[in-house]
Amino acid sequence: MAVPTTTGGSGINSQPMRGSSSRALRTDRIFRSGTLVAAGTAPVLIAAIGIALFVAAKRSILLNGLGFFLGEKWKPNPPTAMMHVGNIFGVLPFVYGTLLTSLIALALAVPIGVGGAIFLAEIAPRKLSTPLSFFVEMLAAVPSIVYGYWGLSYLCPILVGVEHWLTTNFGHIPFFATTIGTGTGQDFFAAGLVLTLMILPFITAVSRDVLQTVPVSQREAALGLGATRWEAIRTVVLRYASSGIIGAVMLGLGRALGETMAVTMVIGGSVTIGHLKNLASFSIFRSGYTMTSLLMDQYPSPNSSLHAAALTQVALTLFLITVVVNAIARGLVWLTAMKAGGGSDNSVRLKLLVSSSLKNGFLACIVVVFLFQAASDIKHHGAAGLFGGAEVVFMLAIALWVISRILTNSRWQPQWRRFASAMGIAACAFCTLIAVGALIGLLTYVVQHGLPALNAGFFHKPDPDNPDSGGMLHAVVGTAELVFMAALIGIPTGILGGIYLSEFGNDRVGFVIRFFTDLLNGVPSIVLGIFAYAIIVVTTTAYQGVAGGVALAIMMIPTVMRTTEELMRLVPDSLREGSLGLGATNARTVWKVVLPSARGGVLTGALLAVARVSGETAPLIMVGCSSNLFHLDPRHALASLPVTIYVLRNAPSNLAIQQSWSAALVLVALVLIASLLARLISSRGIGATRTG
Amino acid sequence: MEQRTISLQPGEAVLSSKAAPAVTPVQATQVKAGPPRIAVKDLNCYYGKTQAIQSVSLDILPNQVTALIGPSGCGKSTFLRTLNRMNDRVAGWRVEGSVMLDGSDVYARSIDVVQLRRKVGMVFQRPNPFPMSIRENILYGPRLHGERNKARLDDIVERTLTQSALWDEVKNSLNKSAFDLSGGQQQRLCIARVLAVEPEVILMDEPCSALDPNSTFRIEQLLAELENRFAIVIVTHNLQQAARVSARTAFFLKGELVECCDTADLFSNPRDKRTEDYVQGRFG
Repeated sequence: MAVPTTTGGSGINSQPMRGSSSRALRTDRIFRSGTLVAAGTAPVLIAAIGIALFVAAKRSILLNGLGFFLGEKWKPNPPTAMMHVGNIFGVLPFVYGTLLTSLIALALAVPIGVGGAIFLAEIAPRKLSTPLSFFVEMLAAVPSIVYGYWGLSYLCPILVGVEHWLTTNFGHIPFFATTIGTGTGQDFFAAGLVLTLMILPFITAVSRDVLQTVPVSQREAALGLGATRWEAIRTVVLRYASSGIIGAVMLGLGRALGETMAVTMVIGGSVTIGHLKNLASFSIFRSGYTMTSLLMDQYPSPNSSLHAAALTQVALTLFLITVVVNAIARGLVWLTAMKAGGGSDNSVRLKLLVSSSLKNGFLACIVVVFLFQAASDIKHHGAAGLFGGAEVVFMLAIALWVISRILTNSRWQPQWRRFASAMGIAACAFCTLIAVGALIGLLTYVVQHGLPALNAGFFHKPDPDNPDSGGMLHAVVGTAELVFMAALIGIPTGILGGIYLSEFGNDRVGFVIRFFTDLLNGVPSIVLGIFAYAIIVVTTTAYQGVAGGVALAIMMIPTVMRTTEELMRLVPDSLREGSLGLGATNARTVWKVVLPSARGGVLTGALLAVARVSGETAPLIMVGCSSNLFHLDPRHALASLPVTIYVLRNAPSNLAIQQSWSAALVLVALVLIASLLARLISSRGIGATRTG
Repeated sequence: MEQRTISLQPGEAVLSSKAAPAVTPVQATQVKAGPPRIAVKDLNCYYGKTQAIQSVSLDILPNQVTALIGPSGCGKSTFLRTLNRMNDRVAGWRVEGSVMLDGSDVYARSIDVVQLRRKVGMVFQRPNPFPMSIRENILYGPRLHGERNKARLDDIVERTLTQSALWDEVKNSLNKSAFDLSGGQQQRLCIARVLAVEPEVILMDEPCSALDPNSTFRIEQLLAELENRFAIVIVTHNLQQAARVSARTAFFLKGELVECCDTADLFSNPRDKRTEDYVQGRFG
């Protein structure tokens, strides 16, 4: 019998029915507004972050004016100075560093990532592509502190040699110019490389998903017209997916801009900017700062309150930049998704003009740069200069281009096209190999260095008096406590918000909330840390533990919200209609029918969010949540694994260094196990919903 | 009406008890159209362990439309896609027997699939224009195959769009996105796109199933015009359509070719009981 049990109505006669239905209506209204409140946290938080940062940075904004954004120098007075006079705050070097490292990362990660995505989505047989895709997703889950630590101790020493080779052979190209070398391999280039590895899995995974949405009929149409496999991918599949891929790249850029730990550990730390008068000053082999690494270095211990305000203004600048980039990314995806190809005659001509001039301009730049290099090589070495590294690379490229041109117009055209197709496919396979190889390299290194000290001693309490004994129990327990606090706030809010988006979010309100949720997802974690510091630690002068938990919770909300939404949308409407048709309220339908069907997926989202925040470092350092003592009181600073790694990276004690690697290993293991669990649950959970 | 051709048809259909046709098949074929463009012999196809096609032998003759009919899952689309090896992409796909195009084996190792598909063009069930302008859609094939001359490319655009009866509707908006066209126009664009690579055979996989009656009518008209220049194979669910557009009809059932003959004969005078039941709407 179809009786809405929540309302207690029991009869078929009209009296109780009316009563129960009005009560049902009220329940539904409460349910709807309750979930709306949860979903509304995203726009509210975005606004709150902006306001809080603005207020905290107000002094610097008033004092420095526009000079802040145009200044090339950053010289805060030493802490002993009594006066504000003499402080110089200019953000330009850090904007420069952030853009330079992000561009290096994009230049490398986009071709490799898209190539890998093509291999996974289009070429590899299912048996190969499933585990490989999973591998790539794991790479995305590794905490940035681990990348940074690995970069610092493994990559940078190798880079010293690589950079030497590059500067000798390509030194006359401004970006590869020799400048006062740090000799440590810690520079923009190193930061760019580590960033590449960090956004690579992200770009690969998102692009793969996009490619998989390209209809089979598009591929078949191209093949049917006599395209080779590679031609079909290059000219049709990629074109069809281009808007989505551009979106993926922009999101990757958003990540690169806000990445903190990995960059801070390998960028060397100095106020550096390029000058047009001296092109060599644009060298990527100089040490520098990004906005995030500056904050990481200076925010925890500012010289003066004005210095702190100026740093907050840097954070505000970073916040605004990432918000704009992410907003553009979303906008681009929507815009290009609406209209594919073509346009009015003029717009097509314009598009052709722009794309051809971009392409030709790019080629011309390369040619000029190489001629420049060749000219100076000849000047220095005579004819022998013609056979330097740069010249050989350049001549090979020209030869390849000429050969391809000749063959395309000859009777060998079919053979050449088959060869080119095979080469394209091989290149894509190679891209996948790079990503997978990097993961294996990283994991092996962490295991090698982390295993020796991973013994019972590791799980002892720390011994602040004697650095050569004691363990890391404080960090393990602290991480657990912080993540628990974050989950307590973040997961329920995220799930409720996700329910709102999937069940009621098809109107304009839902659209706005979804947009802000995505923006929140793109806000750098370090900014969230500064926000939590400003609203909790500054006002209470304590509660660093709680502030850390809150910062992590804010990070979890958008992830949990969007996965919950997506997975609840997969639940077929017939299930909802079935329940509603039996007289259940909306609220009951969601709780008892929709949510349980999407249970696996929702759990996955929560797990992934936990995995993501448990490796977070930057926000914890920003709120001052760092400790070398064992305690459980969240009113004070708590220790955590990632922060401990950061603090101990230059520790004098052998044991401390070994244990910091063990901490990295534990962290990686935790994160990977969580991802693995999430994967297992979701493959079962979603499968069940789809067949159900 | 002119004398339609009748196939040479080994297998059950010939062995069935119906009276032999007045003209012997071999003679008729040669009189009308010369040797078959595609000759399929004892074709067996498998998706993994499932056999999708069972020893089918069928000839596709030049300059006429051959219709493949049969209930869903009877293998007619699969058969169509073996002719230009479009099923090569499917994992677990396997072919036995021979498919000869102009005397050379389509499944031979030495065959370049790309060149094969140039000769055997394909139009799909749903219109699938590329996300490009109308013009770029047409020129996709010719550009792939190395045509760079602007005058010749312009000529191809006008010629194929005229052939596919679309020119008058789009000649002023060649740079518009192909997605802006109606479904019927998109399908005619897809046909024009195939014509642009100058195929010998055109395969059509239910080209009208996603179109409204009016667009369907336009496509059928178009088929009648193209018939004189190409060998066309069309898969259709719609028996009336097969009757309207084709010279010969092949009836598939459960992966077997039941009967293939002159379209008029197949509908009015089927030799096999199953064909009779199907064309009279008793099943399928």
